Amino acid sequence: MSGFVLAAECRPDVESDAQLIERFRAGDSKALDVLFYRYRTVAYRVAYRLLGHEADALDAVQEGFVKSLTRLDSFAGRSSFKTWLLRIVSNAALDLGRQRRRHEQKRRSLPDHDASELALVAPVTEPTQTLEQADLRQALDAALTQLPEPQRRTFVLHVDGELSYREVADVLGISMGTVMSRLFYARQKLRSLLEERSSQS
Amino acid sequence: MNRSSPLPPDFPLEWLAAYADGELDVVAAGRVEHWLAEHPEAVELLEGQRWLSPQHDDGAMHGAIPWPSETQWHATLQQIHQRLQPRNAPSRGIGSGRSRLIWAACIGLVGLLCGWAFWSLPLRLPQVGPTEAPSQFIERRGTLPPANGPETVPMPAEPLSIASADDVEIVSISAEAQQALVVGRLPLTEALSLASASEVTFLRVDPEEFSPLTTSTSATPSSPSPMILWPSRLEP
Repeated sequence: MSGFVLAAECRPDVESDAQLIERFRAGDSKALDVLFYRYRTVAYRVAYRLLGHEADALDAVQEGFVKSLTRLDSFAGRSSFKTWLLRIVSNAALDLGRQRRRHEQKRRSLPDHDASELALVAPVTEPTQTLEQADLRQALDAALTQLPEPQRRTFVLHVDGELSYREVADVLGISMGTVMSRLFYARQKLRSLLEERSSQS
Repeated sequence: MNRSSPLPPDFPLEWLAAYADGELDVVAAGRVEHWLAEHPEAVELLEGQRWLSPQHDDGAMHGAIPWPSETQWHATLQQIHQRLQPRNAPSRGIGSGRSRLIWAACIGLVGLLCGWAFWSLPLRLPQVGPTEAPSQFIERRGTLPPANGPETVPMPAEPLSIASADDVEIVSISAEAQQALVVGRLPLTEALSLASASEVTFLRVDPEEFSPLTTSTSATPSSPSPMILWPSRLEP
């Protein structure tokens, strides 16, 4: 499929998510392509912010699309496909993150642990990025890992997933007030951590 | 603002997050603005919320994320397709491709065997029912009794065992014989006598003489499945 065709198919006014899902249910695999290109960016951002690792984030995106489309009976159109997808992507990302942490703990416990191996796990900085951006991203990634998981997930779904407070509340099954509170304190903590890092450097 | 300075407890500070994100309605936003006007020391707190808000992102947050190449995206999409393909495939009846071929081969084989059996053994199953005692019939060996009315025999549902008359020696057969014991000279144009396997006793069965259509070599069949005795060398 050419990029031109994809670009035409990805126009949001061409077909609604509901129409694409119906097409997918009827066996039209092209509908999956359109959904994928429509939501890959936001899904990847959420996964990356929760994992801090490019390859793992792609795995979480893949898992999210597969599960969201195989569990359409549970979806039932009660929310938008985007919120349904991001809920599953964020779950998959958190699961992958836990697996990776367990794996790293095991490796660290090995007597022949080599520090150079761990360096492979850290996100690789793109050479084209400016140092400032890369620094900020790494600082933000590091600060995010220090947030409690509920705050981190709420923050990521809103900021990187571009979900409204109502949508975040639906995804996480919490009240709007709780979303508000988690975001407020998450930002307070992030700012404090980034300022601390800035003063240290 | 001094972070440690006390802020009035009556105002929910979480609203500042919602205000920075543009999530408040006009009335609530008005309340926040009114409160901020009365508490200018809280503006820095608001700025802290705005700094990490998608409403005011200058690209530093999103733009800094390493972006996968189109090749990686393509590979991811292909993997999703592969994982979803078996689930999303529409139902195709008894199967497709290889399984269809297997089904066709099985059906063809069964048809071939049925055709072979039909032309090799031209049975006239409706003409059944011995009029004489089976023992008498057996003693006469080949002088088949005439048909006895329209009595019919249900067609056997199980696979038929086929043996020639030389393969078995009939010692006895009950008068209630109703199913496929076929005795006669080929071609079987005369009336037939039928009995089930439970109604005859095998004294000896030579496995080598059994038809390839059956795998049973039991000398005493345990089930009353229908059996055709093929009297190829029956003397008149």
